[in-house]
Amino acid sequence: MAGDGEIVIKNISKVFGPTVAVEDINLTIPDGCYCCLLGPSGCGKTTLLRMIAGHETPTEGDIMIGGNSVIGLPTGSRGTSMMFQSYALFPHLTVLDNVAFSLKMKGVNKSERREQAYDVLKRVQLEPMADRMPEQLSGGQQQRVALARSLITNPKVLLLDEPLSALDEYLRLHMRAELKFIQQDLGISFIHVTHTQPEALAMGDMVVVMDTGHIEQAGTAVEIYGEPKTTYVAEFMGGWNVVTGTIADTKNGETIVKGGDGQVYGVNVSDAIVGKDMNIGVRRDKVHLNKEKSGDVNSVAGVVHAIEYQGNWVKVTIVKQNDERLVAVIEDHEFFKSPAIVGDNVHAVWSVADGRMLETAVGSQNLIGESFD
Amino acid sequence: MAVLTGLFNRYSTLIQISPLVITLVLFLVGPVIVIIILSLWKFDGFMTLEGVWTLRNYEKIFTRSLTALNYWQTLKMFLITWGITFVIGFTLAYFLVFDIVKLRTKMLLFLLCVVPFWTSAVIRTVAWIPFLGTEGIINQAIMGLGLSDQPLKFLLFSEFAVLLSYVQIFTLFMMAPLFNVMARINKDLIEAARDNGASAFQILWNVILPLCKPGIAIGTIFVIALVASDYTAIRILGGSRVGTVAASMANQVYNFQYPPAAATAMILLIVVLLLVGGVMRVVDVRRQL
Repeated sequence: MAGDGEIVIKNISKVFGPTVAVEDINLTIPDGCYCCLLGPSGCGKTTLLRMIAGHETPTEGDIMIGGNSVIGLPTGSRGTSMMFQSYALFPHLTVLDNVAFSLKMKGVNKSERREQAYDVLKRVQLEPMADRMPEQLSGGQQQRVALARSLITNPKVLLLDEPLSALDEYLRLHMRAELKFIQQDLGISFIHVTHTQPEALAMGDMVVVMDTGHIEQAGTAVEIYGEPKTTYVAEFMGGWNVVTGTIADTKNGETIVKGGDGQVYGVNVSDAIVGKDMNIGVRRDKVHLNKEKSGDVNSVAGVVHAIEYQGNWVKVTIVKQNDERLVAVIEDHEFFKSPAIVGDNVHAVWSVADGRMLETAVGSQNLIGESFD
Repeated sequence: MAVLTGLFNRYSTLIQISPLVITLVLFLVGPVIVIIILSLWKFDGFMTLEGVWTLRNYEKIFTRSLTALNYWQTLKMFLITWGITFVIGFTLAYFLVFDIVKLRTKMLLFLLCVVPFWTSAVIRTVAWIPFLGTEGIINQAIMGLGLSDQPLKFLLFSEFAVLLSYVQIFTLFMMAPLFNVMARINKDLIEAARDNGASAFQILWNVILPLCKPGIAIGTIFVIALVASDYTAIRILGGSRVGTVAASMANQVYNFQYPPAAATAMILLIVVLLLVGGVMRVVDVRRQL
């Protein structure tokens, strides 16, 4: 089976009338990978998933599964199986017959297909529900039936369209672990579309951040969160502050950037060109609060706007003089050494080494100043 | 004032349901009771003997051979009409729901199906005569094209003509409920079926058709009631060759044989109710209402 589930997406575009849903995407998803397609609604992630499944035909480009092009192959013969956001269980069939549906289509006789379906139901611990109708099950149980119905087709790739969005918080966390476990157990590829960042980070071996039909960045969860390439990824993943300015000076591998509001930032970038604009990102947990200005760079004056206590850390939002916001995430014991209160004048401070140059986003959405958490 | 409010509160439920109750009593229960009474009065062959009670009218229905013939003819007309209206209605509903994307076009085409109902049932039926007659458009066309050297007689004043007018009018009654249930089918179900390897025909047979059951049931009930009650089309287009229960009942009425006609009506009512009950038993219609 190894290598069978590798998906190569080459120059894929999809146009709906005047709307470009997906524009010239290239992506390789290795076999046996849990891949999360992450982005806001309308970014093209579901369209991409549906093109892999065969529910949409790409306007241009090629999709290969296990080395063979699947363009033109009917849905259901590509080695993929899709789990729908609405679960799409057949309301007129029992749980068992829902799971056995694909076998019935293949002409497997009744007793044999029911036996097989029963085995798969056991795998998702739903065998006591075999004779119920879908509407008699809870949302979480319906989802497990949908999963069983997909698994019985022995897919090389399982496609999941926002599988957890209809569940409550407790079930969501539970299913997260269960899906990941099943994926590792089966060793097949899962492609999971979501708009929830923590879900993508927690589940994905590979996270693909999308925006307006483009891929902003693809990589491991650690790369996406820890080393965002663009302002979009940094802002969308949360956990980052983004500041912008014009490059004023560069010396000894350190670049000095002047913000529009007169703030001066330092960042370890050696090949900067003076006079150009630069975006700098800094993780929220690397920002500290000082009562006094400290140093020439990376000390931003502002007023404490909001304080949220989160248990082992405290989230402090600061409004800069130009009305932009910075967020500092401070460990609780550090915060309570000299707690700030709303309205305090403070300086947000971080070290030059913690700054990171970010490219301007490829997509058209400008997220600077927006918050996603 | 306080007394009035008190009375109103006490009987508010009764007051609220009274319009429906009054309507039903006046126009349904009342007439049925009148017919029941009438059906139990004696008829001596020429006159109705008021107030002379007898079961003879019913006895006659069950003993004469014409009854079975009438019911057989009614059943045959129903089965043929049902089959044709179902195929056409299902196809039309499928086309409107799944093939037409724009809601405006959908509604426009649906309204087109209602056009025949803009005129009265009698005119609608009479309008077939110039089409189907010996000198009618169809026969002239057939002879003009040299397909036949004499006019086709079976076109008018025949079972064929009655069935044609049934199909024309009743197809909408089959199509509308089918359209209604089909439009409610979640499109994801069809994609899920395709994803599970179902062919277009398998999707139709295993997903769409079973989910249309309530619509089929309601359409069937309509067609049962319409075929069982029609006598206009039979009178105008049947040329006394079609003897359904309703037609024989109409004959009795025209001959002033009111008590036997009333008894025939009661038996027909019971048969239709049994059929409707049977359909409701097989399919849970309420889920769609």
